[in-house]
Amino acid sequence: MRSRAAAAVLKGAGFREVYSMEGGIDAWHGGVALGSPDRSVAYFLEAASLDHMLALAWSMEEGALRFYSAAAEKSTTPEAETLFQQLVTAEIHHKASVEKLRERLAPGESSFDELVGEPNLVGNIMEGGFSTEEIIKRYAALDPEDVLAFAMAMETTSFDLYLRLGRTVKEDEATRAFQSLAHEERKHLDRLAQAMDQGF
Amino acid sequence: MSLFDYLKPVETMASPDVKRLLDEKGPDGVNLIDVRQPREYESGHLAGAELIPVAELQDRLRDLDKSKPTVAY
Repeated sequence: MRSRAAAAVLKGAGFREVYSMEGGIDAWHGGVALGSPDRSVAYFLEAASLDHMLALAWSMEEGALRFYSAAAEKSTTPEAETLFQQLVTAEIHHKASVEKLRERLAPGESSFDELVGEPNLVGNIMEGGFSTEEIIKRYAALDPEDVLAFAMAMETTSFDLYLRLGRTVKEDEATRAFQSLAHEERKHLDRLAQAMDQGF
Repeated sequence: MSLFDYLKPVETMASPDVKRLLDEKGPDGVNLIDVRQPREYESGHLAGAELIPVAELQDRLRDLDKSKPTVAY
């Protein structure tokens, strides 16, 4: 109902192509991103230096890496282990490309480890849900479907954040890098959705 | 806006078509607007969506590019 009203407002304001999504977010099959309202994230991003944005990206990758490593280790089927192992490899590459980007654009004295500190920022980003650390701790009690659901929420949150980083950052090279990372997280999301549909 | 704007027919789009539109135009080629309240947004939103609670929409129209297709949910 609200989205129909919003669409009517937009139409009235001269927007040419306007749609209200049927069934709202409940009708969306796929991951949804968790986290703070846009404005505070956007505020944080606008106020943040490139170094902080990179640190945020790095810590997100670090969280994902730890999560997938734990998931690979504890997986009960070879298919699950392969999938999570591939995601571990992908996140290692992501971390490396964020590190490389920093070396080129914002070389600093301190390492990302020092900059990010513990507990890492991932916990803060995912304040609407669980932090990766918490999930890893509770992992033994989770069934594979929960693990996939969490992984999808995590990838969607990363996808969401990279889209925003790409829009906010001023350096062209960083924009391109964040866009390409967003694109890859989107692909991970598809693979996780596929695993969820097929079951394993 | 006038009350009659609410009576104008609004086109709806099913979620798989929204997904296709986002893939086709790219995430920056579409205004994807979450018109719910911040608390709802926090507990789950579509990737890349902009939070504009419906009550604030009128004041924030300038933030949006009118030439892009726009999807509200």
